[in-house]
Amino acid sequence: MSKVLLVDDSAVMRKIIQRNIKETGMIVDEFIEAGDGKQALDKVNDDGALDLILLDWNMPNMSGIEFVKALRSLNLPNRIPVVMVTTEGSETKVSEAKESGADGYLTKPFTADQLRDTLGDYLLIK
Amino acid sequence: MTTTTYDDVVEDIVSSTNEVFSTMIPMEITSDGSFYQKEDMISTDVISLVSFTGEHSGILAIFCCKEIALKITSSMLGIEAAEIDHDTKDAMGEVANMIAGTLKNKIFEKFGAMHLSVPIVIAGESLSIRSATDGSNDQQDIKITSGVTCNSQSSWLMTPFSSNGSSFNVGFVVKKND
Ligand SMILES: [Mg+2]
Repeated sequence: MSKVLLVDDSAVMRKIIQRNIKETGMIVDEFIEAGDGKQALDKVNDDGALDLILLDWNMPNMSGIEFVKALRSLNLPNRIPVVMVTTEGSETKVSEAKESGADGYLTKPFTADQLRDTLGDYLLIK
Repeated sequence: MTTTTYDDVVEDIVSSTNEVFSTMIPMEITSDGSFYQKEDMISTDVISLVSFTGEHSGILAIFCCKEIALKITSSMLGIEAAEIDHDTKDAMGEVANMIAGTLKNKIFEKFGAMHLSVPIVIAGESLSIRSATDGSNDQQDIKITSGVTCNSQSSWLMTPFSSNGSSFNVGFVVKKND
């Protein structure tokens, strides 16, 4: 059972990511969606048994970076991997994200292959 | 009022836009030069914009007609978008967001670090006005296409792109903060 939380203020982007994950043969049983960092924290509190979190940076209410800091400060028994999927692509931003607790990084726009290569470390591929 | 020119950004706008389309929007586009346009001369159906702040502030915006917004949304989502709705606005916002994000990394050395806003999309739809006709059943519909304008001081650098006969402009306006 693999469960992925998609956090992006764009519902269209959440759909595209899901479609790409399915089309490239990665195995996900359930997608959970959140439109900002606050909603994402609620989802984590509802169900901490997530296998992966894909996280946008620029979102209203609570940004991706604020979310990942808050998530890591919860010190959950199972460390959920977080991959940033964002238009922010500068080296400064990438290191800021990693220092804050993100594990992987993918810059938008991305191809389906780039998505699979990035997520291949966290999801099973058929 | 002085008009700032930044022709050297055109190449970066073209490559950023091409990058976004070639990866995420299966739709052939070709760019065709660039021009400056006074803001009060801009008339369009859809504006999707991302503003940025930093050493410089400015806006990157896509200006397009309803048809191309629907075409971009359809290609991006692999569905047939027929109306300007929430999905269309969301998709157009993400396109501007991705072009701006890609561009930001290319022009970083010229303009310094900048913070991007979340995208804002404004769509003006065709308005239908029904004229009063004194009890006559012969009512006439008058279609008016609304135009939308922004309010910036300088001219916009417009980079037009076309796809199968329809076109859209990627506009850019920037000024150095004092
Ligand atoms: Mg976003």
